[in-house]
Amino acid sequence: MNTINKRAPGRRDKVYFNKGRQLDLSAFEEAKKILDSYRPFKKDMLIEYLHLFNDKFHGLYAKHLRAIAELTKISMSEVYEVASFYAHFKIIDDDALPQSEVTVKVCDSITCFMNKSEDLYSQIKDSNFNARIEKAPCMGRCNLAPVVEVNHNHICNANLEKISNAIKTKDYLYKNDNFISLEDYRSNGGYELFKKLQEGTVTFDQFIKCFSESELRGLGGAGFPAFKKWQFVKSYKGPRLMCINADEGEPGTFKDRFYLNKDPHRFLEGTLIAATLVEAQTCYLYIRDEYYGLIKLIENEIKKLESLNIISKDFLVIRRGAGAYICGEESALIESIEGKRGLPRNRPPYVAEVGLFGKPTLVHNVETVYWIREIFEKGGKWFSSHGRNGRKGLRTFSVSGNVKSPGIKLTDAGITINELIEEHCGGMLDGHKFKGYLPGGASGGILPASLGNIPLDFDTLQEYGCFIGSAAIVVLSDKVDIKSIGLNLMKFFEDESCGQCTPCRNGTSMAVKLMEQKDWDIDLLNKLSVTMNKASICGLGQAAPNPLQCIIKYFEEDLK
Amino acid sequence: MVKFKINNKEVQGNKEDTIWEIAKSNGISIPHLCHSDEVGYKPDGNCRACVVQVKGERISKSFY
Ligand SMILES: Cc1cc2nc3c(=O)[nH]c(=O)nc-3n(C[C@H](O)[C@H](O)[C@H](O)COP(=O)(O)O)c2cc1C
Ligand code: SF4
Ligand code: FES
Ligand code: FES
Repeated sequence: MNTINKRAPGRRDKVYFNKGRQLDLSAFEEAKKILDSYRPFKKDMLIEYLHLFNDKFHGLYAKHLRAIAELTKISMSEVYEVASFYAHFKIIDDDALPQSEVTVKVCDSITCFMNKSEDLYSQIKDSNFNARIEKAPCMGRCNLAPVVEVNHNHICNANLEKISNAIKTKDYLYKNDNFISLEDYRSNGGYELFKKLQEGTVTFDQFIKCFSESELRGLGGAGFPAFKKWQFVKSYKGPRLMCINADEGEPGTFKDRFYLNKDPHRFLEGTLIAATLVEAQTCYLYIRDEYYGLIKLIENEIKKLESLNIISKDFLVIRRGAGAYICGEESALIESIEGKRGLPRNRPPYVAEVGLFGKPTLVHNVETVYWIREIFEKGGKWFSSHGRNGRKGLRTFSVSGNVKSPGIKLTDAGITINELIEEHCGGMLDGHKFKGYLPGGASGGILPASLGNIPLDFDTLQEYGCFIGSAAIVVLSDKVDIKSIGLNLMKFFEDESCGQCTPCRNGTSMAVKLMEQKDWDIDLLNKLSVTMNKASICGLGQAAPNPLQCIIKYFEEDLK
Repeated sequence: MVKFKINNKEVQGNKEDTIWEIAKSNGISIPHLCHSDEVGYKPDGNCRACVVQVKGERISKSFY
């Protein structure tokens, strides 16, 4: 190996070799070539740099990590720390055999699990594909479970034949559906509102009035009123920044992917309007790596906007996630955009005050900004005039599980699960009886069929120990084993815990062990749940015991 | 200055101080692991040994 090996002078008891991993000169030359166009190097770009190597060599060789550290002047330990945090980065020994260019990932999250993804995984393992075979969390296609990724290619309703075909024909691409083009979007009045806001013919106050009437709330999960967030962020001294949260990692959720693909410019205009409202200097779009094709699509459409001078260059910056659910939590998202591990921050201060690079930051979910243009054009009251069972607004439900026609269902906030299944999902699958449902993905808890008449909305589920979160509904029938559902969800949290705080890191893995037992130690599980819920730093650890607690509370029969 | 009660005992301290610091200066010791109140130790707040219940708050806190 070609290393620089000088003896460190002037120390007692010195060793006769240099400590630490030494620079490999040929790897250094390689790295220089790959990163050359990225000068001057910036620390917050580390994850983007790592992607370049990970894509090219199908993994991150230790020698390249060392070279990146040398080149970018980021310490080796930090490069390693970041690289090893993210699931999509595979760190490889320098002397490892060349890696296969194919990675097959089998979704093992809730809906795919219900559709026998475990069996599929074993079949794939047994088929001797020349590929790296892994399990991975939800890929945002839950209505078409089971789902498998062959590199970036999402294979829906997957079976062995489809997978082997994709490998044989080297079909590795993520495929987008048709979308509304920039021309079509503009011919329908697109970007007019953004222009008016820039010119000052509509004002901040008009937006505040309209959106307080619309009662639009953050659709990423926390449900904070959008207009209040704009007021808060704006009340702090600039410069300010904005981030779009397109991490969509909550198992069962696929609405953001749907909207980004369907009408990317409606999303982009909403983003630009929100950014203008809080006078953000730059807006970062953090898109999960699983939606690789969408990253490319949005990138392309942004270029078009730049060339038409609708936006200035580098106002919208895309950042590619790297397979960490926790980076959907807004402060972890910010850490990740800063090029670090996605560790949630302690609050206060809130990100609206001290956010990205220490600046006041507006963070919005994709769907929240997607609604901005339509609501302003049709009026705030138009939006809040929808809704039933005493609730207001529209809600996009991502429905998956044992129903006849799962998928995206845009309907009234406050609809009940019984209504949703009957009116929008064609009823239960033949031979299946409705047994229960997850109202808000993995974190939102589990409710029994007997509570099928609760309005589904923010604030309505708390008293049942649940929340609606991103409105990801998973319908469970009498054919599923509730205990195994609970275990699957807890395993998800164990895998995705960032590991920063003790109640969540140790709590999730302890809970998994306890839930793997034939008889659950309810007392201990209850105590553990309280600790996790009360003492964890962020929403992941706080919500992780929700499904468990619901099973104990509502599915006593199944625990016998 | 802020005044409040810890386990029914009246305590007071500076507004900028953490609950942990105010407790300490009032002779109440809250268990801790990842923090030490010596120069150069910032309250990282990740072992969660020091969390306390604050009335009216959903989630417990100590340093924050
Ligand atoms: C563990 C965890 C994961 C989250 N994942 C996402 C996510 O994938 N997408 C998202 O938009 N919000 C997610 N959130 C919510 C964000 O923290 C934040 O509330 C949201 O992005 C704010 O945007 P909104 O006000 O437009 O909803 C998550 C929160 C937690 C605690
Ligand atoms: S609760 Fe879990 S995910 Fe959140 S900071 Fe703690 S360890 Fe990390
Ligand atoms: S794609 Fe498998 S659960 Fe979402
Ligand atoms: S001492 Fe570790 S969190 Fe407070």
